[in-house]
Amino acid sequence: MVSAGTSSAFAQKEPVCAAPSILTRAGFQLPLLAKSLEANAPTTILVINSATVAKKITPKPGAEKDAMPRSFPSYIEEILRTRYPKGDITVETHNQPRATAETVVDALPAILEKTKPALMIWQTGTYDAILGADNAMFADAVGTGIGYAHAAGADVIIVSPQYSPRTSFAFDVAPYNNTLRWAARAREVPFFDRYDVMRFWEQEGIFDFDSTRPSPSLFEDVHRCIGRLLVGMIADGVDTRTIGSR
Amino acid sequence: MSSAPAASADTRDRATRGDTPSGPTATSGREVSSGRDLRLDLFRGLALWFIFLNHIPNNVANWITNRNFGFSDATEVFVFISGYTAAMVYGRQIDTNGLLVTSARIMRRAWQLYVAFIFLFVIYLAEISYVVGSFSNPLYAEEMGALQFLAEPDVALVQALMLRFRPANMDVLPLYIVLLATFPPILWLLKKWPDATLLVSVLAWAAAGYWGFNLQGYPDDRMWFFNPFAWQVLFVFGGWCGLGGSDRLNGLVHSPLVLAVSALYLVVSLLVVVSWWYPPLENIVPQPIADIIYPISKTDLSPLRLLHFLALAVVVVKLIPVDLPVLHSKLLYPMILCGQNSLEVFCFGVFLSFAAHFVLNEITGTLAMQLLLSVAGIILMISLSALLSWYARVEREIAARKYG
Repeated sequence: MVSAGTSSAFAQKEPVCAAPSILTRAGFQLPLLAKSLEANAPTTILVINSATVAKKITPKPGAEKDAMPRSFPSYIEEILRTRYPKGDITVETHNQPRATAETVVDALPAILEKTKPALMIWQTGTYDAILGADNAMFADAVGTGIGYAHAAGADVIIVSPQYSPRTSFAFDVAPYNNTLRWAARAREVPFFDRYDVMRFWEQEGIFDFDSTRPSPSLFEDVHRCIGRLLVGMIADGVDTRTIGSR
Repeated sequence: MSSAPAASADTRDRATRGDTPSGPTATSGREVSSGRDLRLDLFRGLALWFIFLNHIPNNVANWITNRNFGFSDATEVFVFISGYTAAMVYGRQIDTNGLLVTSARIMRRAWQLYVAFIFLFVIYLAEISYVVGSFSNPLYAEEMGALQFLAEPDVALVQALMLRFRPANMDVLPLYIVLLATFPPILWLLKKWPDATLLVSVLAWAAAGYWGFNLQGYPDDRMWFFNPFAWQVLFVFGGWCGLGGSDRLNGLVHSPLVLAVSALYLVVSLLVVVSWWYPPLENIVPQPIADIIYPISKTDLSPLRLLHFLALAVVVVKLIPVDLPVLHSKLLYPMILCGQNSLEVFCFGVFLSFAAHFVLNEITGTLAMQLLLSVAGIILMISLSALLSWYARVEREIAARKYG
């Protein structure tokens, strides 16, 4: 499709990173993170992922980061540091491959205790859709997880699974996406609907997700865009005049 | 998948009117919809079209299906009407041929469905293998890894044979197989003690929803998407209606109060569903209520869905009486035709939805192509049904000439 052609032809040019504002606005506030940023205290942002990152053969230790494709948490750190230079922000990623929400929730209190984040970005639902987890139990697990984070003094942003047109005949992500939307709304936390954002990109031709030969920079372009939009949502959630309302 | 208006209730009129039902019930054992209530076939045919459209992911045409207008969807319609017609047809056969012969016929039907399921599963596995082989994109590492795991033939095949491995969107078929295979004793009970059987069925549904027991699937012990313990209630209720229960409900169904409450519930449900995708209506459901009702479980047939289906049935029975002239017109004939060979059409519909998905991904996924495939699929389903009906008619004529 056109966009894949352009992004490989103009390798240096980044694709248009737009998404409808309804998907990118926070909707709810992030007061705890805002407080931490205001106070210029060292702020940790915890990203919980279920990615299985394919490790390439590790060359010298310093170059390890270059060998692996950069996924969105690393972009978040970079962009946030630029935006809030005095915020002393670190982004920690916790990968739990092939984990459903329930599995993650079991390990969550320990992780929260260890990292003490001001914000937890929780990407979940991928393996729940793949493994066909029960929707009600999934909703409960997500709610419990959000509760743990709030109890540990962290705001939460929920991130939905990816939109994958090629495998949608095998895994039906949409019901889990809806459940996530409702769970987030019930707990009043922002919901970053990656699924709908990617669907929008596919429809508008910004990215081509089902071509048999994806452009080599597709992974990084998509993750960079996701990172950027997530930071936009964070900024939107932090920009509040009623800090301490919780 | 929202439910098309369900045809239910007062179609027993045909028996009381003394019409002999048309079509053979004895020889082929298939559920030929006999009798004059075309609404059954009409709505089952419509439900099948909706199920087909809904099974094509990312299809703009599935906006017209009824899942977007209320809590329940085509599945409820399909299960209910299937229970109704199964009880009608096989119930009569118990009287004429005895319980044992009828049970054998029911089991044979279930076996045919099982074979169809295995066939569809093989097609599904072929598509998985194709995607795994041809598509490599680091963005989808997790999804592709899961597909490769699913494609392990030694494990996946055995699990499929046990109905434990059910690909997404094919879950209605194992449900139907289980419902049909367990139908003989239930049918006998429905004939002897209809109300008690219905009561037990409702209790089982309530228990399944409350305590959450379900059958185990594969991989990794996922549960069945359609919990048979919960969904059986629609099948049994359909059977109860088909054996004459609907006549007893006539007074209730036609009462103005019930009609008003049903219509109101439909409107509320419509608003709630629309609020899910129409931002201006986003906050229409107050938070405390939302906490109670969401998520509305399709797996365990949430009460909201069941009530929505019943409300829809009440309204439809009122709006479309059994003797409405348009039911006999050429316009609605294709839909009725699909309802008459519903199981074959359903399996074909699943196969077509795979094919359509394949085309949309491999060739082009434009809006025009989605519409084209949707229309083409429905035309093919109608054609298959017409072919099957023609064949059945020809066979009957041959048999009649032989023995006549």
